[in-house]
Amino acid sequence: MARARKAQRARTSTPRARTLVRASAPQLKAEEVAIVLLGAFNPSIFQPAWMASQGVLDESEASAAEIGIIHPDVVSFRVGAIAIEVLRERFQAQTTDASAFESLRDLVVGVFGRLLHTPIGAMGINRSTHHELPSHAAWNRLGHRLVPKDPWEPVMNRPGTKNITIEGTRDDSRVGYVRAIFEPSTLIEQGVFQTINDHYQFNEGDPQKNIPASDAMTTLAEVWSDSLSRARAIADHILTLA
Amino acid sequence: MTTTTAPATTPDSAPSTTTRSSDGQVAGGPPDPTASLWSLRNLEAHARFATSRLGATSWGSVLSTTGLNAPLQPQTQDPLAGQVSAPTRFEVLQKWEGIVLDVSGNSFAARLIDLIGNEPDQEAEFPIRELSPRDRKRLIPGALFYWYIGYRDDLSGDRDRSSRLRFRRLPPPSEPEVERARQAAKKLRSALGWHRR
Repeated sequence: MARARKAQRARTSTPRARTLVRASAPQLKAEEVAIVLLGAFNPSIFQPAWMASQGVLDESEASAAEIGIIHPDVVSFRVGAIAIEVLRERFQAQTTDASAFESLRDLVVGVFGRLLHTPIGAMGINRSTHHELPSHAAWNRLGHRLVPKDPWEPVMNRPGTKNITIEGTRDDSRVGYVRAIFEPSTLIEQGVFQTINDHYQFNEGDPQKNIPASDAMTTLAEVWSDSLSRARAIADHILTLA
Repeated sequence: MTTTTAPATTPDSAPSTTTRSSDGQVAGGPPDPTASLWSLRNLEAHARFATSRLGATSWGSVLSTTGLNAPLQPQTQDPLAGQVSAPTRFEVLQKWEGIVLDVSGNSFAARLIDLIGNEPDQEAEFPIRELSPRDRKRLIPGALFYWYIGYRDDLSGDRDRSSRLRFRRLPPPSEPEVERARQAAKKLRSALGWHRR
């Protein structure tokens, strides 16, 4: 009797397990959010000690910062989960810790709240992810659906998807674009890498028309949540094609 | 619009080696000034060294020249950069914005705004020992924080459910900001027809 019950359990459990395997979704394996500003910067200013003096960081955070390089042309350091790099024409702050995304935004807003008149020409809010797909078949299927290989097969041997960049216009009233980049992951087997670049152009491509950082930070604060939501929606949608 | 170019293994084809160009850009791809970190490509070697060391503790050495999807090979070949280690990762399951309402004894009360779902605001009480010593200094009524619940995956592959409280690090308002707020309030007061007695 006990053996019969055991056999019954085995019969019922096997199909369930199979169903679970089939239904398993792509797994998020790594995520990064970066804020990039283009403009004219003085890298030497951007140091942990200065940020502490301005109340953007605590003294203890500043003293624990991992310094990469302090140079008139480039400054890079890490404070907790946030990495910062500044060149003369570019500022970037980024984190791979999902519980620090809001801290990242606050840090950037805090820094440029102290450098109100820094000229800014463009801003990118970028979310990058690595997802592992449930099977090799799903991984191949996604590549085929995004770029069908039929048109290439007469002229190429075993064509494969390496990189896809799709650009769309903005669905808000702001100037810029949304660009989605899709690649096979270099970190995860049967994984895919996606970057959604939410680009805001402030100066029409003319540095003379750069806007003050205070206005750029207003935009950053206003668009932040929608930007990340849009990035998630695009990446998640692409994964449903697998 | 579709362009095809670079990196390592490829869906729907045989694995191949990376073909990113030496300046970190994907060959043939349009340069995208705010897309990712291409920025160190023209700097001196010591700058690259310092930065790659800095990024060596995170996924794909994201501070190196090629961004989050950087091929592993060039980094592991750099004797100065060290091995790219596996990351700890935090996957957010739920997220609230909190406003401290009251601090008393060993706990504090806060109003919580659901940032992921559509749940109504809630009030909750937290033990102060949940806070890092750094955040305890910020614990005053009106202080803003974020509360995250999620999975933390550690280096060994273990997964724990984890809660994190992070107080917002907003610098105190500067004089111009205070003045701008004062002017905005004055304008609003005037628009509403309110007058000081």
